[in-house]
Amino acid sequence: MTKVRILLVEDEAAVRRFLTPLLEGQGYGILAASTAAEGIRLSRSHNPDLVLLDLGLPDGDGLAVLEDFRSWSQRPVIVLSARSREREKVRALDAGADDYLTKPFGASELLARLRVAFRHTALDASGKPVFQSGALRVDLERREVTLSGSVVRLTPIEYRLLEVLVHRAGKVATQQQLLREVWGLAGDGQHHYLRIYMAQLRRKLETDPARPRYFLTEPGIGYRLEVVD
Amino acid sequence: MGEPTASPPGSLRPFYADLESRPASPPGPLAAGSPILVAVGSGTEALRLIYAGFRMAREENRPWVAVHVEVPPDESAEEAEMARQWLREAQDLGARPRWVRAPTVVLGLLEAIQTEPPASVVLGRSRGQWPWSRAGHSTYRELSLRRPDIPIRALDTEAVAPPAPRANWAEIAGTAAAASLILAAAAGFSLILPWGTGLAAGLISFIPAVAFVTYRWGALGGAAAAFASVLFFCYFLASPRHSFRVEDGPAALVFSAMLLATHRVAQLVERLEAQGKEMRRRQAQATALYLFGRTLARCSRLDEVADAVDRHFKRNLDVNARILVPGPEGWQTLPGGEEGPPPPGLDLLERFSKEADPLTPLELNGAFYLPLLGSRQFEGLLRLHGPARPGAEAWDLCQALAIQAALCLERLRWLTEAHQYQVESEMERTRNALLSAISHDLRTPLAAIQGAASSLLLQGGLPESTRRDLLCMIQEESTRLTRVLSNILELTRLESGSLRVQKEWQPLEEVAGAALRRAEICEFSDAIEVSLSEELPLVPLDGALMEQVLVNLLKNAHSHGSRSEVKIGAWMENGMLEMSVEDRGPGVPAPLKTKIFEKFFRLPGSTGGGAGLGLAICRAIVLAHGGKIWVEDREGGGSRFRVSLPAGTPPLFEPERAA
Repeated sequence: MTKVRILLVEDEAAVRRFLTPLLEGQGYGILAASTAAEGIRLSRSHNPDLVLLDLGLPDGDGLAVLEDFRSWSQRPVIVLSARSREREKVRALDAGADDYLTKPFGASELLARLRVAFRHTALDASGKPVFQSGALRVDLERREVTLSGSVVRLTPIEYRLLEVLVHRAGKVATQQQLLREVWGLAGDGQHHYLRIYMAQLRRKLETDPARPRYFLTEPGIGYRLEVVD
Repeated sequence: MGEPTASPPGSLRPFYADLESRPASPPGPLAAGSPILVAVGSGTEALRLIYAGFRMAREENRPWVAVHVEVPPDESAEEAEMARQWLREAQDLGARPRWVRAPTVVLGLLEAIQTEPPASVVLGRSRGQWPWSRAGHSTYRELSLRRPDIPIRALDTEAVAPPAPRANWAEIAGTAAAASLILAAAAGFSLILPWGTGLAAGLISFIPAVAFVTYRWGALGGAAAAFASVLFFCYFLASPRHSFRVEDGPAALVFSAMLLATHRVAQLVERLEAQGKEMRRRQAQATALYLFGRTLARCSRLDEVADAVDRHFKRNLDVNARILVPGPEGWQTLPGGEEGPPPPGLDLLERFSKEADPLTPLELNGAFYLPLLGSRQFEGLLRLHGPARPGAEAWDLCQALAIQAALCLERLRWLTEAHQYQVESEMERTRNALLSAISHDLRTPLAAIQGAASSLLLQGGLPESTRRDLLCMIQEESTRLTRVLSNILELTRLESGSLRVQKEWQPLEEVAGAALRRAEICEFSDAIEVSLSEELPLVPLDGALMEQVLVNLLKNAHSHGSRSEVKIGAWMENGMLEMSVEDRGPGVPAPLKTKIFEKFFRLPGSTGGGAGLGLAICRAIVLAHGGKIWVEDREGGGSRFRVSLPAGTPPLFEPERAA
């Protein structure tokens, strides 16, 4: 079996130093680049299965690497960014990144993100178009939502929102992406609609809406539908 | 040099506030009783009245009131402005200002007397006007007639006559008629003198008449009057009567002596008059300078100075004045707006005026420029241009005003610099405090990490549990380090203003949920009770920042309070969003309730890292939202941290029809 190969584009030696043995220990093959140019070159020559991309690269925007990669590959990209640089993360996510990690991060966080990134859409997992997370079950074919076995009735927009989240299950969805896919809106000023509908979903599907298990808020960025066992 | 961008800090705020809101300072320790009423007009003689009022009030140990009566159709905006300025001067000397509107001055004063009966009234009385038009006199007389019970003191003032308009024919004819009348009266008087008292007696009646005519109408009028009186005398009084013949020598001598005498008197009178005029002019100049100085002392911004300069030059010299100041982007003209870029050759002018005599005005393109030199350096230029070139006497005043303006500009520049230094030293102080806090709070976890890591490396054969312990410690201390660092960075960004609060309409439950989740990750979410009101509308918040606030508050509750009974609540009240985080800890002592929100402040006896910044960050974020944060005592023990935020009106939401 060929190893799954991860391209790590990170300029700080210390981070590379701890990530490489960690990932290799998990059975991944690692390619390392320390500049954006090198990152682009290596991605084109080796066609990795996943890219871990630091946004704070010395010779330019990590965004350039992302855009280049996305122009010919749909493989997952996870961006690494310092804390409180939300706008940077949102830009990267809207430009095609799948998820993000905030530095400094721990090993378990990283591995969890990798797991999610490598998981394909719910459709492929067992062949059936059914999503399951804890007590929540969504049958995409029959458009039926159940919580602990009892059916929950959702409005068309609520269902659509849930569907979009299910397709990205485990990964973060930016406000922009959700607005576009559910309402087709590109502009500002409609964010409160998104929030109101998320609140309605939480009220219907969470035991304690103030302490959500499934529908997590990432302030400043967007939402994440968590997959729990 | 540029203008101060913000008003100076509290300690340097301008001393003079609005007319009404300033408290009057009493003249003496026991200034009681009925006040002295001083009637203040809009002319320059008001200053003398004000000083007189001040002295009288002090001598008699009474309060005093300065009143101005506005007679609406007659008073122009300029005069009203002057009157206000005089009232302000009086107020500075301890008077209470009053402004009365009435159809005439007398009625206005009567009204003022009615509302607050004074011990005495002080008025100005101007001389040098025709008897029947002496305003001061008639006011004085009418007032004393109407209120004989109140002593009225009149101060004779030399009214600065307004610039005499061109005499029209009617006026000249009128004055000629008046002059003839005076002479006729003098003549009539000499006629009734008993015959035989001698020619000399006739002179007695003519000389005062000629003197008066000279005083009113100048040398020419005086000469004509002298000649006319000699003629009259010769025709009517000297023998032979009713003829112009001069019979004997002594009579001719008398006539020539009379001519000489009257002419000499006319000359003296004229010179006196000229001196009087000169004195009045000087007086007016001194007053103008005084007023200008006082106005400038109140200016705290460059545009205020430019306005004052423009007004005063226009009022006193009838010329347009502009200040030109050099700035980083070139020359700036104030008051700005109408003029374009400064004329070319201005830099040449600057160099020239720096080297040349500072009092020499320079002419360029039809305007005059005076350099504005402060005590050390060149502050700018004063440009004057007007319909006519100011006369020679006017230049003295120009220069004096220019010097004052220059000093004022210098003062403003120093004010800005002082403010700058203050801001910088404040920043320096914060930086130092930050550095010292950083060094301590970072060194501690680093020491622990260093120790644990080196132990792991050195000692082979450590039991597995010990190794795990040390590794856990490394992880925990790193987390703490991260928190300290991010707190410091956050606070610095918030305080430097580089972080902008991006408010969006949020359901609070979402922000609370995110905060609780973070608390969970950091393992202190056990037993947090959540009670959010059901009907919370959308509120305008910056989600990420508000999450930070809640996390910090929860963390505090966890580490300072006992680990149980932490409660977080939210509700709406009076259009505000109210939040609370409660704990059952030892509570916050009353004197420290505001101090705990300060940077680097930690309650005595508290453990844990964070450099004492958590609450300071909360406060900065809450303030940036326009809200309030404070701490109360919780009933039954512990603290309740409260946050109050303005809620506004959420946008309309149209719910879709049910599925």
